[in-house]
Amino acid sequence: MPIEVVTGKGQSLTLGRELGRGGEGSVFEIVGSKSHVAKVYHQIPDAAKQNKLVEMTRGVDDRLLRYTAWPQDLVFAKNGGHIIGFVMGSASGLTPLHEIYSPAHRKQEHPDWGWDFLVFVARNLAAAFAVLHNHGHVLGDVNQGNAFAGGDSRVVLIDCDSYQTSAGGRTHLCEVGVPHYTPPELQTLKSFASAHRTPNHDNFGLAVLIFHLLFGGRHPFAGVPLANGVGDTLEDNIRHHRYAYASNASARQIAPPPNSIPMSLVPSAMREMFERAFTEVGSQGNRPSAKEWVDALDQLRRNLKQCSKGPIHQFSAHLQSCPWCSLEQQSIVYFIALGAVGSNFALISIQDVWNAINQIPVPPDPALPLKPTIEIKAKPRPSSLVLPGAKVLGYMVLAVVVVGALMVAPKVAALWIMLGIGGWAGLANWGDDALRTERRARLTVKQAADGQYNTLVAQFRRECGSDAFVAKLKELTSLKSEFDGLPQRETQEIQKLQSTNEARQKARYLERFFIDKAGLPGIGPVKLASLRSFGIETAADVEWNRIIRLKGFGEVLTRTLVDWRKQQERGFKYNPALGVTENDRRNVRATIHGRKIEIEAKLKAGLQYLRRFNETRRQSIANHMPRLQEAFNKKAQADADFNVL
Amino acid sequence: MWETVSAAVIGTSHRDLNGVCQDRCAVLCTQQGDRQWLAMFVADGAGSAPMAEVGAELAVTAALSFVESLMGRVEFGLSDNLAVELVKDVRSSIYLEASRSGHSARDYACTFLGLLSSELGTLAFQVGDGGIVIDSGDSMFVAIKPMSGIYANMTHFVTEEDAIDHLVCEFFPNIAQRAAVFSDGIQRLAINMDSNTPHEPFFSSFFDVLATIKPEKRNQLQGALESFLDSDQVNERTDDDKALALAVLRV
Repeated sequence: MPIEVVTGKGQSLTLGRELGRGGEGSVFEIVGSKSHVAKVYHQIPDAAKQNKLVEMTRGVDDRLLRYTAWPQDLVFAKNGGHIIGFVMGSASGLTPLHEIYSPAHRKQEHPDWGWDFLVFVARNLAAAFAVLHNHGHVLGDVNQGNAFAGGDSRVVLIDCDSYQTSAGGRTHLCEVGVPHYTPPELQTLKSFASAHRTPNHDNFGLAVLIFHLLFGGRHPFAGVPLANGVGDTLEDNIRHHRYAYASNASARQIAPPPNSIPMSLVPSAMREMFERAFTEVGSQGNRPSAKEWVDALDQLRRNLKQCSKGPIHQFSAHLQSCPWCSLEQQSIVYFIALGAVGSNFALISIQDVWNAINQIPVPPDPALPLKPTIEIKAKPRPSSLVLPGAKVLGYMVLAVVVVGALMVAPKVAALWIMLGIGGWAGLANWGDDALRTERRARLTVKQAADGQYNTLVAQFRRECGSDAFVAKLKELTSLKSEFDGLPQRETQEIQKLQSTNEARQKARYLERFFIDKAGLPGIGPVKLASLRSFGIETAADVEWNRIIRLKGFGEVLTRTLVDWRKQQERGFKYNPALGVTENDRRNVRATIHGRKIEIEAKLKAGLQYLRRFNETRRQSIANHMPRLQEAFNKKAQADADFNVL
Repeated sequence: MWETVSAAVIGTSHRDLNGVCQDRCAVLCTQQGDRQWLAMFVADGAGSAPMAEVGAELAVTAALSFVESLMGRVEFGLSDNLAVELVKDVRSSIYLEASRSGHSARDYACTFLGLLSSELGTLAFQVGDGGIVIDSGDSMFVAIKPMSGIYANMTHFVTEEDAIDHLVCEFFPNIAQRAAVFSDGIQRLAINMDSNTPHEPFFSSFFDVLATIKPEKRNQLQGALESFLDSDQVNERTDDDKALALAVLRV
C-alpha cells in the first residue's frame, strides 16, 4: 500500500515497496526514483533523535554523500508535523562487505574479484571513515553489515542515523555496538548508551574490516589458544589483546588458525599498522587513523603484481613469489584462476635449455693444499730425555761388568747373572716415562690439527666442491622428467575427473549452502566470524572433528552445524548426466600449465646456476684457501713433531 | 481414529542388575485441522550409557512436542526432510540436556524409531535397531530393513555425531491401518529374521484385540500388554528391556 509523505523541502513523495525491515524502521522505495530511498521509523523518533536528523540533513555535503547513505532530507507524515524518517541514497546493486571478504561467497558469486579489488575496497572503506572523521563524526557501531561496495570498488556506509554525530558543539551519541568490532578498551562497557566514541575507537573496527578484506575474511583475534582459559570467545581475546597474528602472538597465548594467510602478504609497514591497531599501543589512543590507512593502501595498490596464472593472482610487489600459488600447493584456494591456457607444450625451447644443461661438464673437485707453505722443522726432543747412545753405552758397561765379575768370582755366577738381568731391565726402562709423556702430548696436538684440517676440508668441499653442482643437476633431471610427464599427467587427471565426479558434484552442491544464510540457532555474527577465521563458511566445510576442536563450539553447536550439513547432504542427488564439465577440465589444465611454467623457470634458472658455477666458486675457493692452507701447515708441523719421537 | 496401546517393560537382566528400564515408547492420536494423525515413537537406551534411560525419555518427549507443533502448521509434507527435522529436534534436546548437566551426549545413547501416518500416507524412520511393522490394508510388512552397525551386536544411536547419516526413512502412500513400533528386545519374537517379514500371529493377536475392544475395557489394555511383555513366554526368549507401541485404525 503506497504511503504519501512530504519532505522537509516541501516535496510530496510516494513510498512504494518495503525494501528492508530493521528493528528501528523500514526502508521504502520512493516511487519514481532509482537513486534514492526513504527510511521510515516504526515509531515517531523522540525529540533528541529528531534534532539529530535535522542537524544531519543540515550538515550534509558532497563528500559525505560520496561515501555514505547520509540523511539528505527529512520525511514528514502528510498530515502531521512530526519527522517520521528521512531520504537517503540507495545502496541497491551493492554487495555487503562480508559477502566480499568471504572467500566462499566471493569465489561463487564474484569469481573475477582478485586481491587487487579487495585492496581497492579496503582503501575506499578507509576513505569513507576518513571523511566521517574529518567532519567530526564517529561511526561507532562498526560492523560487517554497515558497509557496502560496488563492482567498481566504491564503498558506501549505511545506517548513518545511528552514528555519533557532532554539529554546533552538540554531540549525539551512538548507542549501539557489535562485540567483535568493539575495541579492547570498550569491551568492559555494559552499555553504549552513554559512551562517548572517538575516531580511535572507530579505527579498531576499521582495522578489523581491512584485515577481513586482505586476509581472506579472517578475524584478527580468532586463533588457536596456547593456554587453558584462552580464546573461549572473540570478545575475551579482544579484551586481552590476543591478536593471533601479532609478532609476539605466542606470548599472547594464541597462534593463527591453521592454513591462514601469512602476515608477510602485506609490506612490513602495513604489518606494523595492524600491530598498532590491535595491541596495547592502539588501546592507548595510537591506532592508525583512517587517513593513514588510505595512504598505506594507496601505496599498496600502486605496487601490485600478478603471477603467471593471470590477473586473478594479484599480490604485493614486495613478495618474490605468488602467495596464492603457494597456498594452492597446500590445496587452499582463495582466487580461482580462470582462462587457463591450452595444453600445447612448447617442448622445443625447454629441450634447448636441457641440451645446454647437459653440455656443461661436471667440474672436478677443487685441489686441496699439497705441501706446506712454511718450512717444517720438527720440534727437537726435550733435553731431559736419555739419548739413545747413552743407553747402548750403559748396556755395554753392564755386559763388561757382569762378564768381569763372572770371571773374578765364578762361584757366585748365579748371583752375577741375576744382578745382570736386573741391571738390564733397569736400563731398558731408563727414560721411558718421560718419552711416553712427551709422545702423548705431541699426539694430542697432531690429532687436534688433523681434526681441524678435516673439518675445514669438509666445509670447503661442501661449499666449493662439485657436490653442489651434482645435486643441482640431479634436481634438474628430476624436474625435466616431471616436465616430460606433464602431458600424460594432464590426460590421466582429466580421466580421473570421471571417477571423482560424484564427490566433486557433491562438494559443489554443499558449497552452495552458506552458514551465514542458514540462520542456525546459536550461530550469531560472532560465531560466524570465528568459523570464517578457520575457513569454515559453507556446508562443505562442516565436519564434526573440525568444529568440535574450535574454542567456544561445544557438542551443542557442533551438532547444530553437522546436522544442518547432513540435512543438506541428504538433498543431494548425484546426476551422472552432469558429467565432467569443461570448467573441470580447464581447472586441470590450469594446474598443469602452472606447473609447466614453474618448471620452465626452474630449468632456466638452473642452467644459469650451472653455467656460473665455476665462476662463483672461484671466489669462494679464494675465500677458503688461506684458512685451509694454515690448517694444512699446522697439520704438517704436528706430524713432523710427532714423527721425530 | 486409531485404537492404540503402548508399554515398556524391564528385561530380566536389567531387573537383576539395577532395576532401571531403559526403553521408552509413546503413541499419540492427534489432529491437524480436521485431519487425523497417528504418531508412534520408541527409544531404546544403550545398556552401556550411564544416562541411557534419560536419553530415551528425552527422545520420545522431544518427538511428541515436535508433532504437537507440527499440528499447528497449515501444511507440511511427509518427506525425508520432515523426518530429519524431527530427529534434529530429538538430538538437539538430548545435546542441550547433556551440555546443561555437564555430560557428553554419548552418555545418553539410545536408538530412535518413529512413525507418522494420516490419509496423506505413512512415514517410517529409524536410527539403530528395533522395528516398524505396517499394514496398509493389503498385508503386513516390515517398513525398514533392519539395520546394524559394522559389527554384529552393534547398533547406531540417535546421539551419535553422524546420526543423520544413519537415519533411514521410508514413505508409503497409504494410511496405516495397523502399525507396530518396537525395540530390539522383542525383535526376535516379532520378525522372522531370515525373511525379514513380520511374524503375523504375534501381531494379529494384538491387532484383533485392539480392533474389537469395547470402550469400557480400554483402560485394561496397557496392563494387559505389560503383563504379556513380562510373561515367562516372552522372558524365555529375551532378557532385554522391551517396548511395543501398537495402533489399529477403527472406522
